[in-house]
Amino acid sequence: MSLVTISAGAADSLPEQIDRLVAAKAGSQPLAPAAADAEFLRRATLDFAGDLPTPAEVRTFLADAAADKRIKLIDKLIDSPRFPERLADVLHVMLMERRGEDAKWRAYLVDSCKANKPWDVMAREILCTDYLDANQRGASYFATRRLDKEGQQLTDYPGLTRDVGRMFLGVDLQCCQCHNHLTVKGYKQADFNGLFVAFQNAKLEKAAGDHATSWLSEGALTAKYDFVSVLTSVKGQTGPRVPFGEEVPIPDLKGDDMWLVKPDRKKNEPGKPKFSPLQEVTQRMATKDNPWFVRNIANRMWWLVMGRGLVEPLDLNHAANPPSHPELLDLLGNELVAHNFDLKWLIHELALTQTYQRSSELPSGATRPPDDLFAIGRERPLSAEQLARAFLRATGEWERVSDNKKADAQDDTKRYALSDFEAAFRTAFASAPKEPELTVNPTLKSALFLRNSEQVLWAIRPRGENLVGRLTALTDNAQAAEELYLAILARLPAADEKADIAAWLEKHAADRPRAIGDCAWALLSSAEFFSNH
Amino acid sequence: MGGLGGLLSRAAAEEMRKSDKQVLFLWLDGGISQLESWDPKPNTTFGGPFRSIPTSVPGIHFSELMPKLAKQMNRMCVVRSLCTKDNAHSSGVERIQRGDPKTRGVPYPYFGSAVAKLLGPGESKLPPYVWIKPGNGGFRPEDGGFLGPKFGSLAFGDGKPPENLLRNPALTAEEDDERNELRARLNERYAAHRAPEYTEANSYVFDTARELMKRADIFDTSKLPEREVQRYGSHDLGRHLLIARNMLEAGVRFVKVTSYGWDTHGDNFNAHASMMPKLDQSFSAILEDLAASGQLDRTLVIAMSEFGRTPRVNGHAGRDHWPEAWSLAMAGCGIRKGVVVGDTNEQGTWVKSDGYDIGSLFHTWYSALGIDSVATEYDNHGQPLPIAHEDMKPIKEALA
Amino acid sequence: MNPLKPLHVAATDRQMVCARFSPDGAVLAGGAIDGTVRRWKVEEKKLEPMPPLNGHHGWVTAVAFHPKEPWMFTADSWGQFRAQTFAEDEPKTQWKLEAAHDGWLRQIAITADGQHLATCGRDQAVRVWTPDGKSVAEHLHSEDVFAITFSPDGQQVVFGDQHGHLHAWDFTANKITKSFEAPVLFKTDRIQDIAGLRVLAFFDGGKLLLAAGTTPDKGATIQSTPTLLAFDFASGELKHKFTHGAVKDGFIEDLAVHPDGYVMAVTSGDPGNGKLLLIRLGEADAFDSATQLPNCQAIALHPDGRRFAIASTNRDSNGNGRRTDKEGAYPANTSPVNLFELPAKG
Repeated sequence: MSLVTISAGAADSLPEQIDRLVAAKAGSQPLAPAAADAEFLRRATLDFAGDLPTPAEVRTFLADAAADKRIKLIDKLIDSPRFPERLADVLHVMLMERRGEDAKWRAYLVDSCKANKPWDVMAREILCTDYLDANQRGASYFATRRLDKEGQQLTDYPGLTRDVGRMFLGVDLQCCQCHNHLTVKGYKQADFNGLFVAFQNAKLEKAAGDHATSWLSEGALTAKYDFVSVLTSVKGQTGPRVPFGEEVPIPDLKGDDMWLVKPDRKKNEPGKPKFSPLQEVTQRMATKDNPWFVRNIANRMWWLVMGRGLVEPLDLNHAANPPSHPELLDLLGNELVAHNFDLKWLIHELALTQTYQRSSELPSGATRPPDDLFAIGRERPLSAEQLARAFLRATGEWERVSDNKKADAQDDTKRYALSDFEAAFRTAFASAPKEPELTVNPTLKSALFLRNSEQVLWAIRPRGENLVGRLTALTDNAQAAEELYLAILARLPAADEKADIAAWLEKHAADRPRAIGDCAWALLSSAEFFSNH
Repeated sequence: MGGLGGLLSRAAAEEMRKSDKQVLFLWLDGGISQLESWDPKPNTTFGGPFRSIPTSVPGIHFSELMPKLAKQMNRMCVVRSLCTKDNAHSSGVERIQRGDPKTRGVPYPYFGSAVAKLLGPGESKLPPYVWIKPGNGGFRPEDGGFLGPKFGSLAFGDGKPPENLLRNPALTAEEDDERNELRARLNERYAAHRAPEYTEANSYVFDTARELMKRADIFDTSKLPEREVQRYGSHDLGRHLLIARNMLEAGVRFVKVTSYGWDTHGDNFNAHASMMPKLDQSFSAILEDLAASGQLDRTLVIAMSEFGRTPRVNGHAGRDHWPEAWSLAMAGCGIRKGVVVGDTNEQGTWVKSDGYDIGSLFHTWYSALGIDSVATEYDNHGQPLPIAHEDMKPIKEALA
Repeated sequence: MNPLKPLHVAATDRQMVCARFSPDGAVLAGGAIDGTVRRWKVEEKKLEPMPPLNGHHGWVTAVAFHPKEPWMFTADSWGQFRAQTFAEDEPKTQWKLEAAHDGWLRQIAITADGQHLATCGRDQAVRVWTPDGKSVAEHLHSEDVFAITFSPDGQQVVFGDQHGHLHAWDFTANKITKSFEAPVLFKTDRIQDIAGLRVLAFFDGGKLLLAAGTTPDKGATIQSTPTLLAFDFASGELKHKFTHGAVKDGFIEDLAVHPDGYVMAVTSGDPGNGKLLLIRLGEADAFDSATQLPNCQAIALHPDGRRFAIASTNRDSNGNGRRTDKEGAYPANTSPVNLFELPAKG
């Protein structure tokens, strides 16, 4: 499968080309109109700043008459200092799938995104980290965390191999450890095992001396890896290999000649071999010349912005599961390569498309168009990180909580620090470890958290100038309703919604703070708040 | 793959979800000694110090350590001819509870997750797969295997509900319900203009949460009547089986209760002397209660471990792991009453008759629940998968 | 004395759980887990096997000898209690009570003058008998009774239960005269009530009551530390607490009080782990030990005060799953009986 070259000299901008290709496939299927201003503002702010727009921002945007206000908004959000943090959050969840938190890993991601590091550089640093480089070593967490031993289980080299394939090439080769894939013709045992042999040759080392993090040492690989199909009993052999690529020849080195630095068993030093399978595989795998690598990141960035990959599932790209828009995927890949794997640039381009701006509203009675047409906006999941932030923003507790360095259970105003909220939201909303977070997934756990947790109930009690505090002081119920909707759902309420809120507030006028809190709660627990629509 | 997707035949799937059958799965973690329980060999080389006693079925004896269950044998089916492959805990527990099917490169769901998937939550709207255990509770997505985290278990640690289950004390029931109605009403407008899957899923979890919160009494150990606690035994196993009974009565589809501490590599005989009476007391109490209420006929009851224990007694007066020949006990829905399936030789070392692997038991259990264990298949993203080991079949003698 | 070279090792084909020398030192008898009583003629440096005695069921759990008459009393885990002669190849049974206790009869004690015997068991009863097998007194306790011994004056039976409660029972007056608490000898782990008590014995002419066994830490695959307590019998005060090693070292299974004023205790812990400890009360560590014997179940001190026998267990006694021997059979474990001589005092 090679990349299709787009004809040179195309005058349209990339967003326009994208929209044309989407429209072409949609054919007679009507495309939803652009989302309303409020919905668009909320969506973009969540997507690119990982945050909710403030009521003031909503009002300003709605009032702005400029024709290019949406473009300016996109530019502003993506250029803001919040963008790299948001992208780092995205990459963290995508690459680690909730296996754990690590400060150095987080710092690596944030610093790399702040520097707008090209994706291929990042990928190479993650897959074969220079552990002695203080700027890189945090990247080792991707591999070292997966090789941590869990109880009596064997070190999970197959799991690491599989995840490298899934996240960097968009292929899930799990079944191919033991036999050629049963249903996917293109996935062969040699593809899995070629990658496997490089990782199995590495050993997890504890942080010590010059190594400030856990790291991987490599052995001296001298022989190919033998495997047998458990289904056909056919034998095979492979050296290190990039899936679907060429095998890396193993040099014929012997004895001391194998080592750059000889291992010293007495000092517990594993040494450093001349032939590094990890290096060889990584250099060949994470480059612009590897179409799988290019397509994967293009597809994943598309998924991030549009809510569904062009290849779905994101890690099952093969001949019998082609992209919904092959020409489009190739276009994105080519352009990304031409722009040196600049993720910020690609995200920016995607955000400028009409496809991105499409409303997610379905006219009543209408049937939903097939997902792979992108004819309508998608409801997308909000990560625990986005939710925690949005929740605190909406309830007007963001400043208080993020400024509070130390939680003090005795003092109601200092009861929680930001990390408490982040942890609580992660527990309630993040997927289980090793599960990708791809779809909106309401769970019993999250519902119970919303109904009964101390954190949620605390935030909706009146406290200084927080949302409930402010609105309790307002006497005009219609105004209160407006403020509620602006703060929480980032839009103005419809007439009947205003009426509902006003009726509620009148009914419970005897305990206004509680009544306001309940309204806030009802909106904060709504499906509308919890998805990115 | 949502809703009814995930099974190859939609029609069959819908039929199964109408079922009113339930399961009580008592897991005796560590490996209960079959020689000190279901399959005693008194006065033989490996028989240990205890005697055996007759049960309510002539010709069948249990260990003297379980007199109450001996009286219940007429309700039970004891399989004495289990012969399984794995003698390690960490892998063995998983293999047994996942049915140890042929390797398909995907993790199979635990029996509870499978039943939750196949039969659904039923009318109660309570979570379909609940696990009552000592120690920590919480949401356990890993049981679901390839079915996905939604089919994991909801664990009640020490019978206590998971975090945030109980209504926050700052709220009254009325206020909680009222604000929840407000939430639902305000949600309608949003839901009216969106695809239904997400909003339906959202409603489902809020509804289940409400059901669970409403029924907080069924797992609140402080609310258990003292007389009942005495009858089941005021120890973990007794309390947990009592909670299990309440959960089953409330309509929970699959209730797993785990008792830990059966891995008696040392001092096996005093250990069983101490633990068996508690098992005897609480397990017979729940059998009696389920029978008395008529519920036993539609509840499949299983009591088992991951393997049995060695006939040979080690130097620490213990028994080690023995998957070669061991026992489990069943009762209830679809199970034949008052029979023993298979037998071991005089010394209790090997199975004399046909040995059964756990796959045969999965077939048997599905059949007892009215599920065709051969025809029914999962649909795992296009990969059809049998629900039980494809080379095995139900044990006819065990089925009513 | 580590390792202590045995004078002789007598092999058995079954595990044994108790062993005692006859008062004249001519016979060593012990109970096996196949319902037989194993016996040996005791020669200077050798144990010569005699035919085993049948007729017991389950495990033969206790062996005791009459101080004067040629009678040996044995008991088993089904509750049988009997008296027989012991020196001949085919002894005569004097009397036999099939159900002296309901189930596991754990220990037999006998007074110094041989006038009374006591038994205890899982049926929570303590019973006193005369040597002709007549029951003279009974105390129904509330728990499984694990150990008994007579006071040196023969008036009281001291017994200890699962929870480490120790009581002195004047069986003529039928009164509990004193109680001692040994809570370290008990722990509940999950649903397992772990009884740590194994032996009760008097020391120093009755001044001290010894309670030996283990301090349980974890149940299931039990982890516990060998423990020996010494109470002042009159005041009830705990005078000494001796522990040895770590939780893998297990139970003091049996002990003998040497006339020279020290305790000889044997332990059985994790499979393969067994020790002989010579303990002077009040000292923190055993003053001598031998650690080469796996899982010691019983120690018998010869009347000569010089020789002693330990019934231990074979090596490699444990293992999961199928472990067959060369012929493909599944062999039982055994109890090699080691005859030792205390090193001469230098």
